[in-house]
Amino acid sequence: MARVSLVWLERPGLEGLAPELVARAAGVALDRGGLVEAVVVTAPEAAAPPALKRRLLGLPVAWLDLALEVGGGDDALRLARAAAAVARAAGRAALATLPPVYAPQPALNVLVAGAGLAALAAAYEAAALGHPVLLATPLAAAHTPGQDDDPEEVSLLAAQLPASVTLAPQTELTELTGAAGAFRARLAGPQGAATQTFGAVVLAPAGQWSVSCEVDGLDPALTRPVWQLQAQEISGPPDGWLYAAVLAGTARPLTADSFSRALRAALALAQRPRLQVALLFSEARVASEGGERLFRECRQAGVLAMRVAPGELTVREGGRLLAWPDPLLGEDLELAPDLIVLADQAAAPRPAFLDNRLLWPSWPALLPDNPRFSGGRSSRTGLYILGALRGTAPGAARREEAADAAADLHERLTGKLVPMPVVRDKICARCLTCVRTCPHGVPRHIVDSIQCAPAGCVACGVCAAECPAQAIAPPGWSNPEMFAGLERALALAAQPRLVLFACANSAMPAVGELSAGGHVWPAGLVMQPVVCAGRVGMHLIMKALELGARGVLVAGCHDGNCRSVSGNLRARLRTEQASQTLGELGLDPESVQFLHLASNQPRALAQAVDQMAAGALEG
Amino acid sequence: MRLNDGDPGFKHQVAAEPGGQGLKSCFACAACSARCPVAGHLPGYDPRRIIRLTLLGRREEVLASPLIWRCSACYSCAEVCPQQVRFTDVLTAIKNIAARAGCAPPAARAGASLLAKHGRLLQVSEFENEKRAKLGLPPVEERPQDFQRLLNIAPEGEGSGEEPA
Repeated sequence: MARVSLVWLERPGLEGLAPELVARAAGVALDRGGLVEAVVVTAPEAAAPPALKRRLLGLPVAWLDLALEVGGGDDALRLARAAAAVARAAGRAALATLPPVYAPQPALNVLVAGAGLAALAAAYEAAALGHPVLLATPLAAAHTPGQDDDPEEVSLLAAQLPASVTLAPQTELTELTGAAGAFRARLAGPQGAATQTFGAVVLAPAGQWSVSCEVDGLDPALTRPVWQLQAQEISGPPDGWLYAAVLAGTARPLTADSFSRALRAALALAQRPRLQVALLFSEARVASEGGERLFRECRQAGVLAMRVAPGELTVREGGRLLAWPDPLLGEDLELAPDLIVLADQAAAPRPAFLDNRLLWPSWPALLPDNPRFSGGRSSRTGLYILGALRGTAPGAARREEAADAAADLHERLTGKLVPMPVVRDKICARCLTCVRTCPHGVPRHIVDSIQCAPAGCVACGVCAAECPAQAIAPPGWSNPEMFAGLERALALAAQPRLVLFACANSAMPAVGELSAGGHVWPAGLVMQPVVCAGRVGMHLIMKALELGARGVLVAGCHDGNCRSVSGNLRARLRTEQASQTLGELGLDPESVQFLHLASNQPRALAQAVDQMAAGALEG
Repeated sequence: MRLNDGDPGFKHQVAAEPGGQGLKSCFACAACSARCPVAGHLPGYDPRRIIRLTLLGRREEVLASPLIWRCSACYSCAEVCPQQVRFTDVLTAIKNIAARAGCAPPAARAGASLLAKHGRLLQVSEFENEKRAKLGLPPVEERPQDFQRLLNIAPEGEGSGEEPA
């Protein structure tokens, strides 16, 4: 085990702490600039001066944002808290798979599979950033526009494609595995099928208009989808009114873009003479650009906005009469329309290989409703899903999305080095748990061993939490390293000992805010920051209890907020399982708890920690 | 109710009347109904419902309703409306149309005939002027001719006395 030195960088929040005392209490040597074997630095990596980084090159370094964890209180308490945090970091550094094991050079080439504006724009933008691009399309030519594209814009863009874009027409992507830096794609073309490696993959199939059938039994003679509507040819009779119904998501809400298209159709109709338009919807989705203004213009033009509860619209008289209960008047309304306009949306078929549940997460998990996954990103690093397949509005938004995706893949393939998970091949049982559980698709099973994609890991540690053989972990986050840190920190902590596993995205900012405000943490609290709460598995929880912790609190993000898709839910599940096991053993099940937290909820965190401390004192 | 039986032109007619401009902006949020002090005391009185019926073209039902005359013109609805409907003004437009259609209630008619007769809603007599003199105020004269000319109404007319121009 390496001897650890402490490099003390003075930071706001560390005032009044004597480095010598902290080092002595933590059982490490204070760095005097001599030979060292492993180092704890009291600052985050980003705040360290370049000269220090140069000096420490090649050494195991634990970057410890100490100011975050100390908090307020008297000098003795602050010293004890600082010592416990340094001891924890020293324990990890001493075992040292640190410094991070960085990846071999990831592949830089990009596969764009699809056609139309989104595909061309992605190929163009990726090539402009210096990536060789293969544009594979199942169609006869890549510049075939989708039904929802502007053909002129598409042919203009096709003419601008640089030479570094290789076109592969009549070529279909039939299989895909891997993650950023090392995708394996099977392409079936006129010359047969072949497997190639790509650094990043963009899926952007050409869009087609489709109607989401909202109700059954409409008279087909009356119905017309929005994309086929010729409003300027319609007007009412000289002595009366013509009635049109626009169905804009009565069964379930439309996308904002689809709703805007329906609004434009309703407005065009309402501006015709003696035409009365009723717009029926379950939710007015006006979040697209100009959507609210368009909705107002529709009402000003005399369109009747009719909210219908989902599924309440019924069709009678052979599809010629619509009926629904109006919640505002509390009575049933009917309309015998002369014309029924159905909202449409641009859609694209989902590639069949994504249905393989062993290799791919479900569609909602691949494209979570989480703003972090906008701009073409999917939850699989290096895979981008654009255009109609994603549901992006036709036009300029698709070009912007393609540019975002290209910038993101460029950053991921050529930006800062990404750690590689360490796989201990000799004890790996090839159970494929890591392949199934990694939310980023990094570990892959290739020729009877687990190999990792070189640019995909974010060090969330879900693999380490789940691996039954403890054979895989992001560098620095293996169980032995974390156990060693907890052991040294808990040995120093006062009774009752508590462990807080704090997600770096939600809990640690909250911890930092509390500490900066002088919050006094319980003396026995050991904080263990983790990249994602998903790092916390049964091994870690049980080890913390075994080492004498009376309470373990795991704080992770709220549902749907996890950067690793479901790391928070996984951690909650493990916490519940641990709690249940404790109950079965006759121990206090309340001593292991999970807390859903956002970074702006420091008070909730403080409250949960205090409660746990009080519970540990009683028990 | 079948929407085809409504009068699609009614909403446009109200919107074209002075004060009615905001009618079609309504998106039925019910902020007006929640704020209206009259709605709290008078069951059945609901500004949003009146707007809704007007938009659906239920002309007879709206014009004949006694409820449209119960607004206290406090403008609370205009204060809270996110779409600048100004319901009080919209209702004035509707009342004007109702009056022209002969739907004004007796109280409104009595008010109009008082205006035609006295130029005020209150008859001014010696009693009032003596009080004013004690306070050092000039006497008030009844000048109904101004109103008769302005509103084009005849004094004590046999026909509907409140016909505005």
